[in-house]
Amino acid sequence: MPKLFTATVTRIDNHPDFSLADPAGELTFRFQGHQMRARRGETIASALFANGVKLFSRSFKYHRPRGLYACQGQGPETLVTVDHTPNQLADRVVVEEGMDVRTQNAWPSVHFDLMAPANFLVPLLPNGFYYKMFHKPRWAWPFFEKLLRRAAGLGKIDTTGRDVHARYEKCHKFPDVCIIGAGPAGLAATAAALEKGMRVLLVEENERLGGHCLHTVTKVEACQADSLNGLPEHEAVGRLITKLRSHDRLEVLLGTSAFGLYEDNLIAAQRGREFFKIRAQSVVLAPGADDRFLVFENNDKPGIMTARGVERLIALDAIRPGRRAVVVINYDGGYHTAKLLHGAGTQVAAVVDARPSASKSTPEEEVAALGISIHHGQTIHSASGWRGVRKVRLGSIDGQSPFGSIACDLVVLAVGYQPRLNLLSMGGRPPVWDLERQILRVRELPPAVYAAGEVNGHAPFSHLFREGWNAGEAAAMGETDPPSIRTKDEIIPALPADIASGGSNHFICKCMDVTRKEFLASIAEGFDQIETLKRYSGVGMGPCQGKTCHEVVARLAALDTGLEDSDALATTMRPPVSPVTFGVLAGRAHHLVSERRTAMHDWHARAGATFLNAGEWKRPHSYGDPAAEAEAVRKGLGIIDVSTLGKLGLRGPDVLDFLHFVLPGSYRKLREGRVRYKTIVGEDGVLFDDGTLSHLDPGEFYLTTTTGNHGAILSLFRWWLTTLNLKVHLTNLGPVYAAVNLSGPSARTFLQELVERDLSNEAFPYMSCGRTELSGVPVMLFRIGFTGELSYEVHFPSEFGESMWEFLMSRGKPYNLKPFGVEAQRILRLEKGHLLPGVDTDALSNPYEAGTAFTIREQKQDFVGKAFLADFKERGAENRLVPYQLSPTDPIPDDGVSVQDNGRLIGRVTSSRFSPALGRGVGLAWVLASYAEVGSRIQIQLADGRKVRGEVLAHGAYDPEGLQLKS
Amino acid sequence: MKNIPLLKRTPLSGIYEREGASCTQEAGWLIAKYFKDPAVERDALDRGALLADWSHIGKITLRGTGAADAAGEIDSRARSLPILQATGSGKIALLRLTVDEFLVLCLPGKEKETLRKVANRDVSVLNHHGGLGCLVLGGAKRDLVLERSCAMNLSRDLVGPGAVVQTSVHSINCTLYRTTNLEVLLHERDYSQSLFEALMDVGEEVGLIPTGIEVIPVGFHIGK
Repeated sequence: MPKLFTATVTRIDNHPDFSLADPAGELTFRFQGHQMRARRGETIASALFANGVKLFSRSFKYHRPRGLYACQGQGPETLVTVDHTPNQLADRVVVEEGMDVRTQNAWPSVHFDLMAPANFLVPLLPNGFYYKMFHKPRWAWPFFEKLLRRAAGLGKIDTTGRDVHARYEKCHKFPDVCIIGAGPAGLAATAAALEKGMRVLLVEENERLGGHCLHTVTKVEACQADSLNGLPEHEAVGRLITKLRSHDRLEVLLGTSAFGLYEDNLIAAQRGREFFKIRAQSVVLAPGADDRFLVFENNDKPGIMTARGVERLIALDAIRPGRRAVVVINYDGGYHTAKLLHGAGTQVAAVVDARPSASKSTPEEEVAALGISIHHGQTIHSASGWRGVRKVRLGSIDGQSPFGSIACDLVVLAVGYQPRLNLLSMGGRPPVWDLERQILRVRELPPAVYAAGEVNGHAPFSHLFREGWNAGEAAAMGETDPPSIRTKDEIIPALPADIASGGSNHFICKCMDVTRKEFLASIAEGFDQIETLKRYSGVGMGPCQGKTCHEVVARLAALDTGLEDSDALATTMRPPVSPVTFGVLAGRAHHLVSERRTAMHDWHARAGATFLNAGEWKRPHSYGDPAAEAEAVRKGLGIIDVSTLGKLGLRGPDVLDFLHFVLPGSYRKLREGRVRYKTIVGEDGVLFDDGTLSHLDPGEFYLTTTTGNHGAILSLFRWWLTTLNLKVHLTNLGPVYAAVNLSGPSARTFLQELVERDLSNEAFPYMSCGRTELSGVPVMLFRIGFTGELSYEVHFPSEFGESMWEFLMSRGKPYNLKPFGVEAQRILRLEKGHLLPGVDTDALSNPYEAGTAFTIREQKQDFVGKAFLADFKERGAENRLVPYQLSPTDPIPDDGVSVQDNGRLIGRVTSSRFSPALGRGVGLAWVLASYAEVGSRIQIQLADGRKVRGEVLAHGAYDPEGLQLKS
Repeated sequence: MKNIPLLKRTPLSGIYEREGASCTQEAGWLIAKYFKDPAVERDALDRGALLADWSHIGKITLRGTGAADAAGEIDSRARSLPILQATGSGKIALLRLTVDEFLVLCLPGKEKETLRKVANRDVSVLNHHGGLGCLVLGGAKRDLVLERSCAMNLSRDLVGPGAVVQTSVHSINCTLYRTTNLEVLLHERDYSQSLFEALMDVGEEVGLIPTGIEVIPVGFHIGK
């Protein structure tokens, strides 16, 4: 065993007050490269402690040594890196076979940390130095910034991608009653809610049910559950648990941390890599309480622990926590801890009781009978020692009168409890100081949220049980939260928030290394409100999120700003209560993003297509060579999957009225069998979408939209139909039909071989539509296209998608039919000068400027966007979207580059590609109207600074007369 | 002009191929009989969870003020069916989605027969063809898959057999029809592969395996 591990901590085989559980087997793990043994089921911290490790980490700012404190999985002391994952709480994570555990925030090791001089140097710097220094001279800041960033932070994220395939689960739960915390109150609430017939979910952050009772030997008295009276508390909860466990309406989540409570009783909870979203009708919060945090000189030394922390080590993990202990107390419960320590073989050097000497209570008498010396009217003033406590000084409670010192390696603080208020406070009510109970409390809770147990203040088992039972019943019955009562003898008075005995290492917040001295300096600088104080000094902003320090911070903030205890306010408590990884919140991709695939997707994938994301859709970008694909369309025959187009069916007696209202064009003269290009504008007159409207059958229209706007237009149309008194049947046919576009000079000849319908130009001219059959499948045929070539769009039931595609590909072999993707289509449409809404237009583009005014019939009585369109027309075009072409030798600009005139910005390129057919660059650009004249030369600045000149065209550069299209 | 009969494919046909599913033809559809071992898959009905593809069933929407009467021509119980409830038999199920909208599910290839029954009614009829995907979740542990997939409370005392729920499953809008033994998930077919993969992914923890119509044959009995 290396020297850095002490030999003062050992396992114990038996205890006079407990039957220690038999170990559930052993395992091995590694700590700093050293192999160690552990008991199955215990935490990493317990395993390390049992192996003699007392120094766990170095503090955030001063790099002071830190050791085990509360064994409760909260504080910063136990943050370690486990299997390359940083910031794991060693007193929360259960040790597993083969685990690799490493310390963090220290170099080269926690025992010899080269950053340790910060403990002496940083206090010499001004308060909040990291905000104030290193900015001058200016050139120095980048250097210091790197240095500070390197020094700051906790742990190192593993960027190797080792965990990239880790499974993160999300799960939804819907209990009638959700109970957080499985101490005596939580267990009683569970029993009561079950008795009322509820389905109960019990959430416990530890791996064992029972809470603090698991390590309490005090006998239960006067409990309403008669069978528990006379039993030690650990046996009483054991009996309760046995009774509950087999209940079929109870689900228990162990090792699960509830880290947020949101509206409508939504609870967020985490267990390892699992994320639970719990929506309960009622919630009972019984999270319990933690030992109070006591501020004194060097109160952060390793070896200073809470009473419940050492009790857990003894009773649950069979560990003797130290060799010689001083127990600092202010209530009788501290004698219980002293007794347990004594039974575990720790020499209890003294019990230091802050209360004045009075008639001896039974616990005190029991401890005195063990030969342990008891000092009344005193408390701890300071601790000293290099890497751990070696000696404590005692004195008066006001910190003024020292009485003497005692050598020890363990200081146990049993000075009362502070409720865990984080979840309670998320109902929107801040905790306030309860003068009577001497604790911070949240008195008002949202409807259907109940609080029970030590979260309302310390009380004996029977009282906690009764309060839990009442809360469980009320939660089950939907009644109001029963009032919480504490008797005078149950209240543990608070010691002074800081034992002001001198010295500068009175740590208020151990997570962020904030001392009382810094706290006072921050107030002196004007940060005298609790929230600003928190932000400036960092108190309560560390890994424990104030769970350890919130009471002390609230009390000292009041004291140091001249307020009374009754004015003590805690800082706002927000989720997450405990650290949550991004992996847990994000889950896996499947949980977040759904994908849409066309009926021909698998064929495209087999053909080697690369895909692009078009919204949720996966569309073939290309099959390897977009330029060759475009060329195939120009010279022969191409086929593209256009199933992603939005498709809507409209019919009914008022369908034309509806179309006339929602679209800006006129369609009363659109004959059956004819198609018209249409645009859609918003109520603001802005160009929103385009597509076609086909009069397919008498009174039946078929409308297509762009891929991305299908959902929005469907919703828009449905919305208008709920407000307009029109008889129209609107049907979403998007998923019903797959669609392909056959494009190229050979399109007619090829398709005519497959359909009986006459496709001659006379019988089926440009912008025609009709129904026919293709290999026995009923299809809709449209003579339209986006490529500028002779094109036919075929829509057919989507279940035939892949078969139809294969059929066409097979029959197209003699025509050298080639599939083409979105990239080739983009080249082809830019050669033709066709715009794409959303790509070439934005939220300010109106149809007059975009060149689609021909789709508007302004004379119509009323239609969506009419008023704004009239205004746009009256104002005239300020900008115009124009097609342009470059010289054959010019390089191709990127999409989005600027258009300039002698350095003055006059527009931007929206789409730009090289045209294989024309041998030059073509594109679309927005320019000021004065530069939009046909034949104008516009200067386009490339991304690398070079400039090219484009010629503004009236129409697309390819086939401007549309002869191919109409051939 | 010579017609070559084209095969109807479900949106999961690529997954059939990838997973080596054993397929059959039914009513012109290529559909999975089982994936790996029908005995293992049958066993999962009692001990685990199963996911099957029923996308080949007939799916017809009746919409409009006459929808209830039209649905009543198919099954007289439909006229008084509460919203978000279903009637089901072995061959046909009627799901009432709103006051005037029904989704009719029928055996594969029986769409025309069903459509004939509502031919003269004043109602908007949409034969979805393959436009709707249909996945079916079965097996004793299927609830564990659902609670990892759906943010809605689907506990059986609230959502009993015969209930219809409109919800999102892995962010995909679905109509869920619950029978005693199955959860029928209807959704736009374009999402089918994505939904299948997401369900299989979260179901890995509880032993979810894919299967076909030999293990979970098409039938719409609500059960007890």
